Amino acid sequence: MVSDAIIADNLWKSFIETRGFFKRKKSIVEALRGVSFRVHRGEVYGLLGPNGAGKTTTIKILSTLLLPDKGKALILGHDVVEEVEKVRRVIGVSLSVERGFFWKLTGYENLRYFGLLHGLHGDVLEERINYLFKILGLEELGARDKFYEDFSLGMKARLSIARALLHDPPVLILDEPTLGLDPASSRHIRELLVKLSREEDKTVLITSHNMFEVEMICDRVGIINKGRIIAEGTVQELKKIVIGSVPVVFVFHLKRDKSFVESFFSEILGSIGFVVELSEDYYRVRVLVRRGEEDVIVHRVLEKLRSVGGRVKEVRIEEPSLEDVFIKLTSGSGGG
Amino acid sequence: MSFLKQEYFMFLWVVRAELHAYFSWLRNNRLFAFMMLVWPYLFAFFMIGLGVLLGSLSVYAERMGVSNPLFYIIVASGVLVSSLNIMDTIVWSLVDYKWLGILPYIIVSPPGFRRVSVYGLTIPSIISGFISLTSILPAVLFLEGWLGCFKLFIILLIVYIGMLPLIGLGVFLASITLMLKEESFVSFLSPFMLLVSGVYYPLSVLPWFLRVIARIFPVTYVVEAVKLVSVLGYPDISRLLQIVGLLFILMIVYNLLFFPAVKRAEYFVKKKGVAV
Repeated sequence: MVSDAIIADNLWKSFIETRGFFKRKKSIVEALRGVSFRVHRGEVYGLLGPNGAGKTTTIKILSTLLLPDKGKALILGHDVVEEVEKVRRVIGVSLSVERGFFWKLTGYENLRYFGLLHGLHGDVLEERINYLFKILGLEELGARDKFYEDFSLGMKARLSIARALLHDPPVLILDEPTLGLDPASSRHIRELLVKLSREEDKTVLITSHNMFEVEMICDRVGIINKGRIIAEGTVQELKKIVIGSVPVVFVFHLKRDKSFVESFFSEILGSIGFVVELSEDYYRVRVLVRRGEEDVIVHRVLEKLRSVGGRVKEVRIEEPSLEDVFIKLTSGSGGG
Repeated sequence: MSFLKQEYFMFLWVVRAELHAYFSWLRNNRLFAFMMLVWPYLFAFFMIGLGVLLGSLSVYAERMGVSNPLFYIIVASGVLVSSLNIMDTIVWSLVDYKWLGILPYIIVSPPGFRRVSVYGLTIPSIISGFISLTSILPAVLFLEGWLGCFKLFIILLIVYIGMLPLIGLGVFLASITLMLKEESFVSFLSPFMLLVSGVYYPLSVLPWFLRVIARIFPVTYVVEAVKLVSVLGYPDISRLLQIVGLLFILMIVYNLLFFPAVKRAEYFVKKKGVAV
């Protein structure tokens, strides 16, 4: 019996981008540069990384949707390039929570279509759809008879996971399953994924850039940046990377765009890692500083912020989290 | 599991799924379903109106070599609309799948992209062709009685035989659309089919190069067969059989040439990452 459900071994993938109509300019984008990791049977594994890190490309190769330029990947011992049909029978895939269904068909009709395509029919298919509607909370949301075009984002995400589970595959591959969802839908999906792993022994591979989510549900995490896995382990193991560092969070209002704020902090902090988020009218900047230097950094940032007209709402020192591991490992790449 | 048995099951799965999707879609889009029934009549009335402006139905009958011009125009419109429907269904379904984001899930399903392209898209095209053609049944019954109905049945068979090479052509064009960033180029297909099919005018009025293209286009032969069937009394059976033979040859040529294109398109999609 294979102990690793998913093996990615030195995966490389590049894309050629062409621009211009008369004068075609070609440029090569290296999406993956030797990605290797293993996902054990029955575990929830999170592939964490910023936009453009190579998460989705990895997922697509493992789902048999893309061919790698180099390297090997196995799902339950089956090669994703050589044994495509065998791989497709053991995986359930969700790539985007926003699309992937017929807009003028109801939730039930859509699931039935994909069920039939997987060879399910009659009572077996009906029971499966009913079960999935129940465990994903789609029944109570009225998704059965509602057209997909009238679905909320949360309903679309749930339906996408229902489709991945239709043929009861042992391996689930989910790309950003909670992206843009409301807290209730996100929580529901997170709880379900953990339940599927613990109670049904399903192997779950998710990509995310939501640190909180990954910390909550993943048994192990791989951090990917610029097409490479730069760290791997349990959340506790990864947190050891930031021992000796203190995260300082600045919340402030500033009438400038995000790129200004990023270059502003780069100038003040030099090589110190940070991440910028914009929520409603407030920027939230998390800075990872060496223990003992926090007072100096806070003073310097506050002084500079006032000089450009920033209104500081809050400054707080927090406990190190996975986000700080991520900041530390990816600092120098534009603040994440 | 033997290869044939596996193919049989895959065929069954795809057909079931596509039939379900097609009928659910029609049920949810009743106005469109109604328009499918009306469409051949609109085409026919437009042509009759235009024709009456320029001449008379008797002159038209003489030029086209048909006995009942009204019967011919309505049946020819039905044939044209059903042929357009067949091509549109095959070509646009794949484009739709790409736009809706369904394509990746079709690729990862057990039947995969190739089987869904070939088996799957044929089913709705057969149904849409059938709906368009049988919608003219009341008019045919009124104009030619039961003999007209029998002729319509023969025409339906010819349309389906004409569909066999159209599947290859449609799948080929659909495959090209997956490899291009601009899928809308397939919009040229319907007016082009209208131009070279010789439905409403004799092919002799076309310039020579269009006449050559028309000869390798299956719809042209279907239309010719419709003309033969539309004569008073019994058609020229030997010519009819010749046309059927030609359509079978076109089917072999088109499908031999075009089905490898699907394989190529799938490889392209997986290599370049387009549409997924």
